[in-house]
Formats: sequence, structure tokens, C-alpha cells
Amino acid sequence: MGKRSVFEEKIRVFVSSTITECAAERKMAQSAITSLNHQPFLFESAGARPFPPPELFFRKLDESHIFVGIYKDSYGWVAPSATQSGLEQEFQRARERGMRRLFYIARDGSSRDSRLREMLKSAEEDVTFSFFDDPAELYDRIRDDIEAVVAEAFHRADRVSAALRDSAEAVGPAVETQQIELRPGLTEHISTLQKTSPVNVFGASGAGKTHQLVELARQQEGLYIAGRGYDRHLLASVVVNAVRGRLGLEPEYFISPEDSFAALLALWNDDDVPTLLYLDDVDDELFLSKILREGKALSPSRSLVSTSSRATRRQGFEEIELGKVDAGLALKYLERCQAGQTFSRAVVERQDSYGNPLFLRYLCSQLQFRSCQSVQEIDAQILSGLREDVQELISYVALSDGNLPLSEASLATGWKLRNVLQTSSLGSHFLRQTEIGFQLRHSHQREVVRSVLEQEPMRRKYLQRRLARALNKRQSPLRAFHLLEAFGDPEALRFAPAALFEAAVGGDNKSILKITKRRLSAEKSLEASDRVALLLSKSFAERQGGADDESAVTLEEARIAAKDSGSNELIREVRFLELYEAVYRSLREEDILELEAIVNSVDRAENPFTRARYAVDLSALYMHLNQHEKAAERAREALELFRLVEDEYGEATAKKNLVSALTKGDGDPVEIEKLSRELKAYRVETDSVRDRAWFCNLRTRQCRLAGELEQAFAYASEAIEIAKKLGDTRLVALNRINLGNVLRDQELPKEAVKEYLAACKVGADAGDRHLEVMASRLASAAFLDGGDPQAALSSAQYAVARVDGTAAVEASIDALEQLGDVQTELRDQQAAAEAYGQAFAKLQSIGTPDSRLLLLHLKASADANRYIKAVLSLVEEAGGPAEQMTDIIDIILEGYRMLLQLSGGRNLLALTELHLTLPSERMESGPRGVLFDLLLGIASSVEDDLLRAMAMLSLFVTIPLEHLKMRPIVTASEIVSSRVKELSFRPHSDGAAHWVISLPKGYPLLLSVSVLDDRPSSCLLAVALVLFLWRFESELKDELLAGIETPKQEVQITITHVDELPSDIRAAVPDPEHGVSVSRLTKPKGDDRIPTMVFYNDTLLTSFKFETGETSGLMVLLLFVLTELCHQLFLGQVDEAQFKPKIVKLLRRAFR
Amino acid sequence: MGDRISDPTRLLMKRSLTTCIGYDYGIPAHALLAIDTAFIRLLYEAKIVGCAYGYVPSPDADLPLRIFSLVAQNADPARQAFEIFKQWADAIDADCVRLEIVLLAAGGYLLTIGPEPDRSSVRLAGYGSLFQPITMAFTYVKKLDTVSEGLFDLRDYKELPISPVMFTAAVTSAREPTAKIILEPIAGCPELIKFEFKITEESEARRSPFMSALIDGVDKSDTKHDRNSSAPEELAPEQIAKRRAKMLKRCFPVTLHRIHITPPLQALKGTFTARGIRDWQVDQAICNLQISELCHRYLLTEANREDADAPLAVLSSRFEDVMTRLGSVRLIQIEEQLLEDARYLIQNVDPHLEPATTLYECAAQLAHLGVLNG
Repeated sequence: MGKRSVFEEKIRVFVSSTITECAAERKMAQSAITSLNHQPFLFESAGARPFPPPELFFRKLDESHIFVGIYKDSYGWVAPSATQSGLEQEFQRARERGMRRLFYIARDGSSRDSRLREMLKSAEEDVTFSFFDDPAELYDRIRDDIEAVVAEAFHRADRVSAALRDSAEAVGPAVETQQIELRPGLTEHISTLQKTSPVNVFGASGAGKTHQLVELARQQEGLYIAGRGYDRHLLASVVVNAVRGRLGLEPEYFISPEDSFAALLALWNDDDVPTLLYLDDVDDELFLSKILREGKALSPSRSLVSTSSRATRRQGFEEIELGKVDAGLALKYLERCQAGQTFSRAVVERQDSYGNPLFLRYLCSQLQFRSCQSVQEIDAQILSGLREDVQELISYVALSDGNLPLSEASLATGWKLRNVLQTSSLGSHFLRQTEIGFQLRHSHQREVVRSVLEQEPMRRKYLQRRLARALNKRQSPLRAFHLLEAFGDPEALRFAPAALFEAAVGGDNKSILKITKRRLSAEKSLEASDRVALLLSKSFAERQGGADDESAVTLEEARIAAKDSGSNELIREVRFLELYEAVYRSLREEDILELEAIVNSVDRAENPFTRARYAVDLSALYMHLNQHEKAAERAREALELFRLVEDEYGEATAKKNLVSALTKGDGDPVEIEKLSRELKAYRVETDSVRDRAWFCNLRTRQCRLAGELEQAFAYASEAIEIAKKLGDTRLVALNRINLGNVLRDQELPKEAVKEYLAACKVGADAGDRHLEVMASRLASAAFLDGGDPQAALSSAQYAVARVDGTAAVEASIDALEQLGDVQTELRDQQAAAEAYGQAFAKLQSIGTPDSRLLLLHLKASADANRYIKAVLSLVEEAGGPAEQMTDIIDIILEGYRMLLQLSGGRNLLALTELHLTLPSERMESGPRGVLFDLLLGIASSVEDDLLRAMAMLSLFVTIPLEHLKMRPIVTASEIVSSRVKELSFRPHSDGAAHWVISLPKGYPLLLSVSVLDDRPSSCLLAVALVLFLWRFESELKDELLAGIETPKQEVQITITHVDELPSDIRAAVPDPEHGVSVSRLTKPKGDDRIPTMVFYNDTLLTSFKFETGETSGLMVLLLFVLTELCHQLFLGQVDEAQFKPKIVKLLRRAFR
Repeated sequence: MGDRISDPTRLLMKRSLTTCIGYDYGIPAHALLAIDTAFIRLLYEAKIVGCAYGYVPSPDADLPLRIFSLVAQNADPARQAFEIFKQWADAIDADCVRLEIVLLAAGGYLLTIGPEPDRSSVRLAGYGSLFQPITMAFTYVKKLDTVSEGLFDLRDYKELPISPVMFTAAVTSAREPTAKIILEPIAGCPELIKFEFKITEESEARRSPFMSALIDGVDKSDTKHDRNSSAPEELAPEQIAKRRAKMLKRCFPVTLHRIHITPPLQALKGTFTARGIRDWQVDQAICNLQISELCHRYLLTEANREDADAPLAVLSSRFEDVMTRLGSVRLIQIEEQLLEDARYLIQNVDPHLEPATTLYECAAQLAHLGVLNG
């Protein structure tokens, strides 16, 4: 049978941008993608299609693997009936689908439409933007980025393989090889059987199958593969690479299940390669029988032993059932373990519990478990004693299908996962940490953990949502869907469209069925076209699954829905499928004739795409019917039309069908050869070792950006090893710098210094000055991190000296800036200003108008005169009226306007602090109040709501609080309230603030914040808190609360300066280190009326500024309040320790 | 005489204590604030004969500081006047004292000193008052004939965004202003650092009716004028709607939130909409019902019985937070409240129009008056 157009071969890249504005960029993107032998889809080249544009671009987008967005100024055209432009619809669709997205943004955004700006801002957290000045830059960049994305996908498979290649070794010691056999003689028996026949060991969970298999693999030096959770494609890849690993070969990557299986078969059939396979927990009988059916016969060096929990018999296999361990067996075992007669009898008397070999082993090895009644009880006991972070990790693995890659685990927990298990020996009782991530050691532990979680449903919900989001982010929307669906979580619907796509691509009919059913039952207001499409998918999946009756009913539903819609196109689509399936079912000539008629009714000129689609399907049908000539004819027609509309994917499918038809018929061998060669070009070639190093280097940077430092570390280390093997010292140096960067991110400055200095030396030896300077500068920064400013100074000076006068101006700027930073740390303001000034001058000379210039301007302002000059030149550069300004306040105000305009919100807090700290600290409280009013006027006049909120928040943090008077704070609060619908402010007569915050997105949260004293500082803390909660509502709900509609939705917060408290309790609060405490409700209830109290003292105010980093009073205050808020909203069911790292992450990002 | 606060007479609907109390938050409720005038008498007694200008060293390295001093013949009353100003400054800031100089077209200048209305309102009524203040204040006005270079210099200085001026008084023995005058500081006379200080040309000053009246009223060397800082404004429909929305958000944020998240109430709004009643009317009626009992209790007191702004009086001490629950409201109550609120609004927008007795007739009247759309 030929292939229907649902199968895919080539990597498809969807290019989204405005068409006319980005014509040059699109051309570049198209060339770049085509040059990689991938298939681009650009709307203007789509030709005439039978669909209106949105339907067309959605269809194409849904068929694509990678999304490339190119953005300049325009937001695009908004159709009269739409609220979003096509550009945004594509953008949102790609996000919903969880596609890999690459964004290229024109650097000059001065005329950018605010809606486009808003749209891009919404993706800031998920995607890395790449800025360009000239369309020509895009060619290389798009090529590189796409290659990286593709390589990443393969690399993932590689890592799976690499990990499992060694899994036999990994499993052995971790499970503790059983020296004393539970069933004496069984190992020998299986060894005998496997020489002539495949063997399957089956039995219920806990019967000892895994242990038996590991023991066999160990004794015979075979390959043990834990197959749980892997699909056919992955399992084949894993087996192949495990064998290749044994042979000392590089891993191989496979784009399709067919490829990986073919490779597996090739190895199996190779008489020189021993393939003694021990596949644990593999229920895919078809996969195993296919190996045996299509591969060579068994031999002493070619055998297959599997285990399965299913009781179904496997045809052609010698079956061994491991039954429940009975009393006699248990007693004998215990006796052989020398467990003592009294104890052994006591165990055996507990008739329900001795049947599990694992349990017996626990009893023998761990005295403290001897009172436990079951292995589950032992595990629950161990679990409850684990640290909260380890428990969280175990929960994620248990909630997933038992395998959780490191990246997903890292995303879900929000921590650095390195060494989690090393620091918790009991954690490894549950988890096995492999190179790819984590696995539960025993399948029953999944149920143990789940049943513990069920006792706290809110906690379970929180964890499952976080995990689902992590899975989705890691391109596994299908797993996210199944995870949530298993718990009846309505959030599953959110992932359903992307999951359906994933399932369709993978031909996973069960999932297609599940998703379509779910969507059809839950989404009542589906558009007719969506509804019909879902019904057709469902019908097709039902048919594939053998449920012909159901399929017929569904198809009938689709027919009615299409008819009701009145759309002839939909009616035709349904009819086509009806007939198509009818032909398969009954092979009636009249059905074929009608199908032909339908295809012929579609005008080739008007609807070439639809005609081509139908034609390719007909060709497949004809091949099924062994009518090769007709099949070839229709395939040729499809090929011609797909070429016409430049649909390379369609072209490839048509070519495949044509080759098949010609091969089976009397086709021209020359033509067959030519077409086959063309098709071969679609296959992705494996990477070279050097490419692998390049890839690791790239991934190190990407992982660092994503905060996945464990992975970054692994990639950097791997790249160094490869570079060493290649003998490329420069590559070694480069990657040691990369590793140093990772170590710095991991807050290990001393280790980072070592790497940088080594790289510096290698760079110097290799005569690469640029590398030498870069390493030296970074070493300086790491020295500074590690608290050694003198060493930092030497390194920075060395870097400056080595690069001075060379053409490497940017490296020189970096070195000078680093020198300035070091001298600032050493409190040599004069020298710092000089270094910054020089850096600034160089930056100006190469014309880089970015926020870095702004930072340098301000950094150069170590004294008032320099400051004025810096800001004046900044204003002048931005086209401001600098020459008219003589007064410092004018300069400050104009500088502040520029800052808001130029920064666009990035680093706003840091920039505001830099700009205002010097002048505001030098002022008396009176003028400072007036300055504050003036600045507030500027901040509050910003048009963009979110930028305005950040601008105000930054001002509140920057202006010293302790001397502010009440009136400006009340005024500021009134302004905030008047500009934001969701915030209500009303002061008491003494000015004490009273806020109500209504956060409506998704589901309503209501918070009130009351100040209990009449201090301006209390009121300012309140407005800062309120602004933050409002500004980061989405992040709070989506990330911290994992999108869960929390059981509690209202919280009251009060703020008081500690000096206003009665003297006898004053000493107890606040936390002396941070100057702030937040009261804790031990058992929050949904409707309790106990407020959350925030107490602070002047310590908090003096450290309020952001420049103090994570010890900033603002950060501490927010951390404390948000922790308590989350704790209460979840009624205390989610551990506080689990929130904190996530909150810190959010705060870091919020104030970046 | 100290400062006083009192309420003006309001239009009051006839009602019994058992009926709903109609109220519309779009109609401003005024409070009369009367400010102590003793400073005028004291400045008069001080006999101001001129003003002095100069530089003083600033404690702030980056900011200059100028001095503006009243030249008095009698030290004690001048000091006492500044002591009153100091009290105002301590309550809010030194710009509680309003200081403006008008350069007259005919020569000379007008010195005006009085309370700054916005700050005075906060000083007397506190922050966040729900009433709109009408400030009754007096302004000291003195016409002086000689304009020196120092005054022009001070005017240039005031062009700077932050230009603090030290405001105080000094004493002289001279009977009339002369080119050279010997000044002595007044012991214990407070010095106020002011940031707001206007020096304007007469043509510019006359744009303000108030300042224009002051200029025209100058017929002798010392004058005092009534000052009405915020006379009741015209009740334009947009202003009524804007004010109502602002007041409801301020006073009933939690109630509004709960209305918004309660599906039956949203559905109820839908049924009212179909009958010509706007969403804001329903919101306001439910808000009013929340405080209905408190209002009745408030009105039971003899002194409050005629208070047309009972809801505001009640709300002055009522702050909503997450503990505020939505009291049960029945459809009939909402309908009754809607009617009373509408009647209240009609009568306050057009006192000559007799409000109708059914809700839907009232809606028609509101539409006719142009105030139905919120």
C-alpha cells in the first residue's frame, strides 16, 4: 500500500512575517531553509488554495516542525471580522502547538507598532530573540539556528541512547545483584531456553522479573534495556545505540521509526555483532515479533529475552510465568539469607505480605523495616522521611510515565538538579539518575507515590500542572495531555490541539481517539470546520483501531455537521473520506468512480492544492488495489500540482507513491532511480564529531539561557572532551570558557576562575589574543564574584592592556567596562569613571545605540560632573534639547525620559537606580520630594500599562524612602489607582493606604492590602507590593500557581512598621537580618478571616534598593509575601520549600 | 477663630426610614472648609512695607536657594503670622502657604498670601475625603509700588524645575520703602522652604477669575478677599458618570468584584438591560443596598436625620476588604433601590423636574436628561 499524505519525511519550516514589509527577509529565510534541504512554507508562495488564508496558514503551520518569525514594524492586517492580525494568529498558534520557535527581530524598533511590541513581549520568557540590522544577516543565522534545533532533536535521542547503552551496568550495582537466587535454577533454565527460542518472563508486579533479567544479562554479558516508557522508535534507537556503544561506535540518529527499526534489524542480522538482548518491561509484542519475523534466526550470539507484566502469551516465545512467591519459597529464601528462624516464620505467617521478593530482600537487609507489612508500606515510610525537594522530584517522576528527562524535571522543579540524589541517599531508593534524567527504580513505587499524593489532592494537582507545562515546553504536549487527562484535569484541553498534532504525526491512533473525544465533548462552541476535522480524525482513528461501527457513527456525525454548516467544501471532505474508507471496506467500483468524480470535480487551476491532495490519496488507494498504472497516473498528477504550488512535502509524498507504483508496475528503471535519489536527499545525515562539538557549544549557551545548568555543564564538558580528542587547542579553550560560564552561573566562582585562566593560557599559547583577552576579562569577573578584587583588577588590567590599540574594539570595550566594575568595587570612583568613560567613547565610535550605551553613560557618572556630562550627551544623542539645559534637575528629568524611552523596560530597575541614586542621595528631603513628584509625573505619563507599572515600581525603589512625606505617596497611589482598572486605592484620613486588588485573568483572585500605621514608608511598601502583584498577575497565576484555580482565592495583607507594635511583641519581629517578617497561617482555610501581617523595620528600608541583588529589601519582601500567599491559596497543601525556588526565579526574571 | 468644617444644604428626597435611600455617587457632595483668618489680621498689624530678595547658602550642594522676605515694621505680629504658617507647613509642607506675586501692567506689583486650597483641604479634612471641599479662605493682598531687579531675578530663578525659596519676614525701622533699607531679622520668626511660588505678569494672572478679582479689588494698600477655591461645577453628564465610576471603585471595590464574579447577578444585569436599565445602575443599587442598614441606623440620630449625604457619611468609616461579604439582595429590593437612585439623580440634575414613580419612566427621564449612559 502506498502512503497517504499524512506521512511525512522532510523537516518543514513555517515562515511568519508581514509579506510586503519583510519581502527581502523572507527571500533570505527561504534560501536559508532550502539550502538545508528543508521545506519552507511562505504564504505568498502558497498559490491558489481552496481555503481562506487563516485556514491555509493554520493547516501549513500545523504541518510544520519549526516556526520562524521575522518581525519589523508592522503588526499586520487585521481582517474586519477578526481581532488579531494573521501575523499574531500564527504567532499564537505556534505557541499553542508548542512548536520550536525562532524569532528574528529588526534591531531598529523605533516605529514598531505597539501591538506587535506587546505580542513579542509576551514571548520574551519562552523564546530567545535574535536581532538583525540587515536582511543579509538572516541567511547564516537562520541556517545555524535551524540546524541547532534539528540537531537538538537528534541529540536527545542520542542522549537517550548513550544513557541506556550503559544501562545494564547502571542497573546492576543500583539494584544490588542478587547473589542468592529466590528461585534456584531458574537463571540456568532460561539460559538454556534462550539459545533456541525467544523467552518471555511474565508475571504480576513484584514477582521479581526485573531482577531475574538483570541477573541473566550480567551472567551472560548481554544487553539489559529497561524499556518502560519508551515508544517503538525510541526503543529501537536505544537498542541500536546500546549495541553501537559496546562496539565503540558513535551514536546514530534516526528521523523515523522505520529508520531506527531498519538499523536495529541490520545489527541483529550482522553475524559479527553479538546481540543478546534482555528487554525489560516491553509490552509491545508486535515490535518483538517483527524483529524475530524479519531478522535472522536465533543463535548463540543472537537471542532475545523479554519481560512483561501482561499475562497474554507471546506467540513463538518460550513463556515463563513468575507466580506469587508462596510461603515455602519465601521461607527457603529467608533461610538461605540466614534471616533467622523466628523472624522467617513470623514473615511467612503474614500470608499477605511475603509474596513480594523485593519485600523479602528489604526485610533481610534492613532491620528497621521488619515491622512493615508490605513493600508499599516500606516505600511510603521512606518517602515521608525524604527532603521536600527530593519528594517533589520523585513525585514528578511518578506522575510522568516513570521516565523523566533531566530538562523536564529541571523545568518542573525550577531548581538546579545536579546532585539532588547525591545529597539524599534515600532519594536513590526511589530514583535512578541516568544521563537523560530520572527513572523510578521499581514500577510499584509509582503507585506508592501517587497514593501518597492522593492524600493531598491540591498538592498533586499543583505538581501535575507544573509537570504538564514542563512537558509541553519540551515539545511533548501529548504527554502533558495524557498526564492531566489521567487525573480529569480540565487543563488537559489546553494542550489538546498540540497533542493531537503530535499524535497524528506519530500515528498514535489511541491518543487521537482520546483527544478527539475529549475535545468534542468539552468544546461545545467549536467552529464547524474544526468540528468536522475532529470528527474525521476520530473516525479515521476508530477505523484504524478496528472499531468499524463506531467509526461509521462518527463519520455520520461528521456528515451531519458538514451539512449543517452549509459548506460545500466540508461536505466534499466528508464524502471523500466516506468513499475512501468504503472502498477499503467493500472495494465497490461505484465508490471508486464517485471518488474519481470528486477528484475530477476539483478544478486544477482554481484549487491545485486540494486536487493534489485528493490525487495523492487516490494513488495510495490504487496501489492498495494493485492498480499500479492508475496509481502512477494519479501520483504524477499530484506531483505536478504539488510542484506548481511549491509544496515540497506534498511533492515528496507524491514521489514516494510514484516510486512505489512504478516499482510494482512496469516503471522505467531510470525514472525510478532518479526519483529514489531525490527522495534520499530528504534523509538527514548524521553529524560529524566536530559538528557535535559545535552543537554542544551551542547547546551550552542555550541551556544557560534557559537556566538548565546541569545540562549546560554536561554539554560543555562533552565539548571539551571532543575538542581534546580532536587535538584542537583553540576549541578546548573556547569550551573551557563555556564551562567557566556555566560554573559562574552555578555560583562556583573559584572553579570558574580555574577554567578561565586555563583558557587564557591556551589562548596565549595558541596565539589567539581575542580568546586570551576574553578569558582574562571573564576571570576578572569571576575573581570579583569570589570576593578577590585585587586579582580581579590584575586580570582586568591585563585584558585591557592586551587588547588596547587592536582592531578588536568590542573586546576592548568589554575589558574596560570590566575594569570599571572592578574599580567601582575597590571604591576608586575616579579610575572607574575613567574606564567607563573610555569604554563609552569607544562604544560611541562604533555607533552602538543600545541600552548598554545608556548603562555606560550612567556608570561613568561616578562624580557629579561626569554624571551631568554623561546624561547630557545621552540626551543629546537621543535628539533631546541638551544645549538648552543648564540645570541639573532638567538634566535628570530629561535623562529619565530618555531612559524610559531607550530601555523599553529592559533592566529598568537597574537603570533607574543608576540614574537616580546619585542625585537623589545628594538632595535634602524637601527637594527630593519635589524631584520625586516630577519623576512620578514622567513615569505615570508612560502610555504602556506594564511599562508604566515597572517605571513607578522602579521609582519607589530608587528614591530613598525614609524621608519621604505622606502627600507624594498618596498622590502616587492615586495615580496608580486612576490608571489601573483592577486596583482600588483609598487612603484613611491620616494617609494610611488601603488597597483592593482584583486580579481577574483566568479566575478571580482578590487581595486587600492595608497599612495599619500612618508612615509614608508603610504606604510605599504597600503600593510597591500592589504594583508588583498587578504587573505580574499572569506569572503569579501561570507559573507560581501552575494555572490552578486555587481553593482559596482571597487574602488580606496588612503592613505595619514594627515601632508601631506594642513594646512587648516588638522584639519578636521582624527577622533581624532582613528587617521584615510575614505571619504564617498554620492551617489556612478557604474562608478564614485572619490577615497576613507584614512587619518591617528600618533595616528593610535601607536595603530596599535593587542594586543589593537578592538581598534587596524589595526582593526579600516580595519573596516572603509571595511565599505566604501561595501557601494560603493552596490551603497549606503545597510545601513552602517547593515555592521558594520558583518565586526566586520569577523575581529574578521580573526585575531583569 | 479656628478652622471649621461644615456641610452645605443638599437636595433631599422625601423619604421614610423604611424606604430605600436613593443615592447617586455621580453627584458631588460638598463640604465647606473655613480656614482661620487670623494671619490676615496679623500681617495687617505687621505693616508690610516691601519685600526683600537674596541668596542664601543651600544645604544641598546641587541646588541653589533664594530668600524672599516680607519687610514688616512690626516684628511681633509678623512672627505670629509666620508661626501660623509654620503650623500649616508642619501638617503637610511649606507649600500649604500660597504665595503669588503679580507684576502689574501699570507698574508696581501685587503681593498675595493665603492658604493653598488642596493642601488645606487635606490638612482640615484629612486624606481621601469622599466630599468635595469648598474652601472658604481669605487672601492677604498688598500692592507695592517699587519693583526691583531682585524680583525679576527671582522670577528667572523660578523657571527652574526645582527652585526652593526660603520664605520669612524681617523688620525695618523705615516708614516707606526706599532704595536702601536696613533690615533686621525677627528673632524666632520661622523660615519656610517653599517650592511653589508664582511670579506672573498681570495679563497672565487675569486668566484666573480669582486673581483678576483680586487685582481689580485693590483700592487700598491692604485688602482681604473671600476666596472660593472650588465652587460647585456644572453637572455635565460625562462628569457625573466619571465621578460615579471613580467613587464606586473607591468605596465598593470588593462589592463590585463580587458582583462581577457572581453569575446570577450578571444574569440579572442582562435582564435589566433588556428592560432599558444600565449595568452601572444595577451595580450602584447593589452597592447602596450593602450600606442600607448602616444608613438607616445613621439617620436614626436626630442630628443626622436631614443629612442628604448619609451614604457618604457612612462610607467615610467603611472600608471594604476581602472580609466584606455580599449581603443577600432580592430582586424586589434591587428594583426599589434602582427607582430611588434614579429619582435622586433626576432631582439633582434638574431640580425643576418631578421624578417619575416607576423605574422605567425614570429611565426615560434620565435618558432625556442625558445621564442614562454610565
